[in-house]
Amino acid sequence: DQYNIANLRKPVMGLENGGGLGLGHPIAPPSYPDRPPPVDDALRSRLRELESDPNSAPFDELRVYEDEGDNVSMVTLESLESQPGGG
Amino acid sequence: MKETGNTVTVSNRMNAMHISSDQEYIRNLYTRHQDAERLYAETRTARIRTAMFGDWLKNGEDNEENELQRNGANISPSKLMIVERLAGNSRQLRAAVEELLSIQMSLDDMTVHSINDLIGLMSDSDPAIVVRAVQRVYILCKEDHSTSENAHLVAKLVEVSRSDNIAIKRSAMGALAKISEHPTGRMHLFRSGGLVELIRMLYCPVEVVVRYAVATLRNLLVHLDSVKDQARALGAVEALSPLLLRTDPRMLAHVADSLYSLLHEHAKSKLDFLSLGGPQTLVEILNRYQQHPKLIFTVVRCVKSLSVCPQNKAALISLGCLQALYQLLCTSTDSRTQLAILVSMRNLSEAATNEENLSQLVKRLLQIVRSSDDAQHVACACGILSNLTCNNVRNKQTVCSDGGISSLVDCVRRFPDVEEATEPALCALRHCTARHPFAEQAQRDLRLSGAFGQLVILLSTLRAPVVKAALGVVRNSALLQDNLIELTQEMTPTGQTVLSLAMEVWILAINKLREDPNAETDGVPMWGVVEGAVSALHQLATHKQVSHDLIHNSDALQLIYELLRDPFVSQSDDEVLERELLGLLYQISQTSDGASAVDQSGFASILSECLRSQHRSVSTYASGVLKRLESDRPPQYRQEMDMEASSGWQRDGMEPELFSEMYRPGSMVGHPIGVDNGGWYDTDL
Repeated sequence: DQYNIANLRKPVMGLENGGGLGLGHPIAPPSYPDRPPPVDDALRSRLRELESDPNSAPFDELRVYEDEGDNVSMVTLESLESQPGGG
Repeated sequence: MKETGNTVTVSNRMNAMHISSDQEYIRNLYTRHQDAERLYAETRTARIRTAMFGDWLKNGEDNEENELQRNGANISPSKLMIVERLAGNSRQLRAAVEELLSIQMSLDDMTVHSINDLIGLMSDSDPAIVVRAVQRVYILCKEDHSTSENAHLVAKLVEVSRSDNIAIKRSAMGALAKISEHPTGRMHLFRSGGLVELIRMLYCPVEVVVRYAVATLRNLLVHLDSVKDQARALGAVEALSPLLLRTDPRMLAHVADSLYSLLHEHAKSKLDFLSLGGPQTLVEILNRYQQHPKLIFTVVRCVKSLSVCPQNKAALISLGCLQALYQLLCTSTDSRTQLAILVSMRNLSEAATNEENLSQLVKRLLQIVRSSDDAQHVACACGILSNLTCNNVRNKQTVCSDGGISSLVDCVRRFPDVEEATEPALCALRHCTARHPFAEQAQRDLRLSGAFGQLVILLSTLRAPVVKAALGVVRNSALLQDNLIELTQEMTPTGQTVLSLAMEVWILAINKLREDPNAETDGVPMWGVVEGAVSALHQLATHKQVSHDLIHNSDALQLIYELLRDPFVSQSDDEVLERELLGLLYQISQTSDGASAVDQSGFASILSECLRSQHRSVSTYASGVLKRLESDRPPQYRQEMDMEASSGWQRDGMEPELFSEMYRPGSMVGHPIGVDNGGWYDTDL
């Protein structure tokens, strides 16, 4: 996968900021100690990658041919040259 | 002794006589002398006659002569009288004359009677007589075809062919070879148990016998279907295979032809042949006997039969069979041989995608695609190219740099009704317009060679294999922005466009799948057609006009909605269809009109589920679409959306439960938003 390693950083919530279960509390946006890139930019670049992903469909396909061809057409071998001394 | 006996007789007579006078005595003596002379002369004649023409004597004809004969028979050769010794040579001479006379007779007088005589003579205890009889039969068989009608003769020949006497064996086999050239003769030969003998004789150390046996066996195999199974059971493949090491082209051709009859449509024989090292010998013959077109044809036919067997396929390719066939394709002038070569190559091509030295072959095939007027040849060439360009960058580049894109487009234009050509040609075009350095140039070449007109015509046939292939080419064409206008404006005579046709195909396929979830048409799974249509529309929708048309096409959003809710799509290991559906939805939602149309169609809950997809592409597209829908939402929601979107694509493979356990993002699961319950999607889904 080719994407910006910066995007791999995971947000970590401090416990003092109401980590716990937080039931009944309105959910506050997490605080990022060292400011990860805004979601919008990251998402946009991921979408761009997807849209230009050469490995998306349609995939190349193989076709297995099993064609034994004509119904045993006759060959005349009478005119076939033989080595001298042949029977 | 005879003389002694006579003398005694004379003297007895003398003793019995009255001696009246000297004169009378003298007269009597003379008379008796004359008698004795006469008697002696008579016995000498008899002896000579006996010695020379003993077979003229008849029983009871003359006691004295019989007695002489009996006596003569008891004499040892050393004590033979001169007469008898002289008689020996004349007897041989007479035998030779008789033989000549009888041969002359049999040649002049070819009646059934003489054949019956010969059949009798072939049973003689004297090998010399049998040899002569069989030789005569051989001559007769060469000259008179009616001999093959004689069942007794054929049976007798099969019988004597078992002889250890090479002269007998050779003539008998020669005669049977001649007889096997005629239908009745073949039947008699087969019914007389000749097959066992023929196969056994393939091991004979005498070359000429083997030659006759092969020729005869071939006549039986080629003309009588019932013979084949029995021949296989009797080990014909094992017996014939080593004979491919001989050097006489005529013999090799007979062997190859016989083998072809046995290998054709018989999987086990093909494997047997492989285990005997047969394919290697065949490839060697192809390389070594290019000056013998007929032999080459018989061998290529064997290769053609073998090339449908997976194990033989791999063996042939590793033995360099493709190169050998390529050489022959360049040198062969016979159309039938060329077709057999192309069919063989097409059978092999699926196993040759990793071969790295096929550029010359690819160019040669493009030449056939460009210039051949024979639909079968062209169909084979397209099929081979389609397989050789599958995931093989080098072959794709060869096609593109050799003007192959326009050649393939022209080919589709020249043979629009030959599906065996158009379908693989489209697949080759699809392969060559993606995933290699020249792909973009190839997409441009499609436009420059007028491919789009052909594409809409082929789509309008609604033939599943062609449509599926054509949709792939449409999709890759649409990757290039410069192509979009021309591609979307192209019309059939009845006014159909790429867009309308893709929608039509999509709906047709969905209808089939509603009847049968595993529906196939002409070997093409309908899911594959749906995937092709959605994938093409996804790329086409990057064009604003198409996107706009799709918003106002109620079918499109309805179908996307339906499919995204289908467990078959969402729970598939293969993300392709789900990803393409969301990609299409993403493109449609890029305009504000599109976004509100998507929003009003109640996609939010489905999209929320997609955020949790194990497939990164699916969750990313879902995030992208949801971001677009945000614009109408309150700020609170937007914040949640941010979290949702980021969690969707930043989980990096963590289980959703684990992730929410650790990071507790705001969750929207179970809170469908903006579902318009009066919407179309609740009806008959």
